[in-house]
Amino acid sequence: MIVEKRVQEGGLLKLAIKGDLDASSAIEMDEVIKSALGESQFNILVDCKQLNYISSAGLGVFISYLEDFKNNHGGFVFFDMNENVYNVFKLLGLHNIFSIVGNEGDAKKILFNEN
Amino acid sequence: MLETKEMLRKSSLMKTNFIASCTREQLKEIRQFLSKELARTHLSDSEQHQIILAVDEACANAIIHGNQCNCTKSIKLNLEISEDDLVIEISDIGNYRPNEIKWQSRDIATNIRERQKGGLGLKLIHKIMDNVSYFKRDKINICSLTKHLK
Repeated sequence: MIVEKRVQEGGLLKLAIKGDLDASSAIEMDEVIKSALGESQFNILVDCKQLNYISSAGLGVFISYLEDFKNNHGGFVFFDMNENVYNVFKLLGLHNIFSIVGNEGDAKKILFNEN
Repeated sequence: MLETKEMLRKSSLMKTNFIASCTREQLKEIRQFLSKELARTHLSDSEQHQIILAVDEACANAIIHGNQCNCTKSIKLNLEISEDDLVIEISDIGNYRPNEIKWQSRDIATNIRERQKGGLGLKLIHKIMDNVSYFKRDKINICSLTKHLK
């Protein structure tokens, strides 16, 4: 797994995840999210276009930081997710908890509207 | 007639196995092995993906919690596919026993509130597979996962 970090206009942080987010790569993902929190970047766009696979360990990273981001009026918005990855969110009911949209434009709108 | 049918059914049984050392990196190899084997079935892409996910979760539990990622230890996957069922047994000599009561009572809200990362793998396994059982056979831990194909 590779995570590309890019600060967008308006202070949004875009994380483009490429590859598999499993119990192995979740450790690295955890570091990425922790460092965003440490840098006070609370509005995260998660580009899932090249995210091929996610397991509970990968989901666990986002779940475990959700309260911290919410307490800072921020959060995660996922976009461009493939069907198999979306179904994993759905199996656990996480599609009702996280914002998941089709494209980056809609993801930005959600984050801007929440602030 | 019945005997012939049973013989035909048994002949369609496919058996294969895979041995992985107890490292997190091996999970990708396990998924690749499963992907190759499941491609031979009539399961849809989505069904194959879910079964791979369930097995990945069970293997991650055995590797991380059962064997503490000790690379000198290993887990073995036995895969059997018949017309009726797909059965995957994951065996190891680690010390992992799932807390069945804990996974059943745990909900996502608790994970969010307590900032928990774990505990959702078992939930996924049970949601995807038709039968899930953990038992010992000759001092070896077995996690048996079944998916009905009919």
